[in-house]
Amino acid sequence: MDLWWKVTGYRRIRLTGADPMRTLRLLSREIRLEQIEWESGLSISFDCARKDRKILQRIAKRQGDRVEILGESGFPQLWKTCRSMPIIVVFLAVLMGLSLWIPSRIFFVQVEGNQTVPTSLILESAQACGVRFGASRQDLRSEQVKNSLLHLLPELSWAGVNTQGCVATITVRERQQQPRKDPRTRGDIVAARSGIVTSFTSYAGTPLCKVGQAVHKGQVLISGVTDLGLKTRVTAAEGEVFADTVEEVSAVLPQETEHRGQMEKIIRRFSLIIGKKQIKFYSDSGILYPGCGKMKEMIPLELPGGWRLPVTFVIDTYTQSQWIPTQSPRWTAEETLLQAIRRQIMDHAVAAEIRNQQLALSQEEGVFRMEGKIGCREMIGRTTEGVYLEGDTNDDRSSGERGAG
Amino acid sequence: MESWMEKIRKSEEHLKEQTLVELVGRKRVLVEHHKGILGYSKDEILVGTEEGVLRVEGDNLCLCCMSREQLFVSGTIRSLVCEGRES
Repeated sequence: MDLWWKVTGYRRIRLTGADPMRTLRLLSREIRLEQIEWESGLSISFDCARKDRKILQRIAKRQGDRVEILGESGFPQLWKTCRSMPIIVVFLAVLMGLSLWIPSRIFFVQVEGNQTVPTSLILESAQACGVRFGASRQDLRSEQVKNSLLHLLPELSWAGVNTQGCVATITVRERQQQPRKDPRTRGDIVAARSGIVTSFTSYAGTPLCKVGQAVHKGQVLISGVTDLGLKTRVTAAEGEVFADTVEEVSAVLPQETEHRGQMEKIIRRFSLIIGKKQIKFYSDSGILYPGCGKMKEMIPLELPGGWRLPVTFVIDTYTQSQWIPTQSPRWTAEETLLQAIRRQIMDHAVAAEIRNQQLALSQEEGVFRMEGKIGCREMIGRTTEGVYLEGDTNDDRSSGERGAG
Repeated sequence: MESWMEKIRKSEEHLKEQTLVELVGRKRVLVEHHKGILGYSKDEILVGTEEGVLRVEGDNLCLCCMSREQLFVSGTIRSLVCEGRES
């Protein structure tokens, strides 16, 4: 019995007559019969589709046979039964509504990735951000929740929300705390660049220079070792040293560059990802032309209610453009090179301010070259980790004082 | 003169109209291009065909499905006998 019979409904029929075999033969020429049973010499019973009722009546009437309906089955019969009991219809309707509504809501929230920040605190903050029991999955925006969570909990460096079914998982990354420097570790502050000291602040250690003094690269500015006469105190030097420095810089830029011009050709390729398998509707893959652009658009298929199917429609768009060689004007090259030099200096410094510059732009062998000197006021002090020397100290570690030996 | 392709085509068409009996193990018999049921009991079913009568003998035989083209018998099949004129 096929599914279509169950959907459209079928009946159990008893046929009684003088020659049921002949009637059966006639019926089988026009309709399909199933589960035929020989009850006696004058009657047979069988299943037939509801829609064949008229044909059955016509042939039975012509043969003078009596038709008796023994029972009905299938979906129409089920519907008739349900209609007689409204509570079942209501129950089914509620069940169907719930099956559509439940997957679109969040009922469980879990947190992962936290080590020091308590889960309860993250859950409480997430609740304030909208990730709560019964919240709509559609309204949940991961980026928005992330920003709100990071604002509420500064201890976190990153947060993300993933939903799967009725469960929302908040994944967090905690901010790495800077390890406290052990005061027993020896460390000096040395000059990262040569220059003239303009500002000097020492918090720990022995100052070895003063404002106005010229220092060279690598010179110890604040020492971690303090000579107290009979004893030597070993500590990690701390302080800030600002100095006026001068740096020689050089940067080059090609005179001729290429720019993307008018778009010449657009090719679209379609594919379907079912589970982990990709079905491509094109034969040739890979980049078509050197320098062509590729944009991938992925469209996941979803059912109403947020049910996501494991099917994704993928559109790959290839664009071929004209590359136009362009001569860079002198003023543009100058601006670009200046910005590059400034960026390089600022990137290498902890804290710096450019005070003056003496730069010259020249043009040679197809390139623009900028050379010169940049004067900065910057923090030149850098901490160097020293080695704790057992022989140089006494046993009084709590005070940080060590014997000279 | 008929080509050999034409002869093959005609013989195939002739075969299509002939009765096809398919026995699945000893449990099921499928008869295609039948001419109706001539007799029916739990032990024996007589099926009319173009070539004569097909007698299906067995135990607990049941006519599961019957349509204009096909007839499907299930049960424990003991024998299949073709009676009547020879083609």
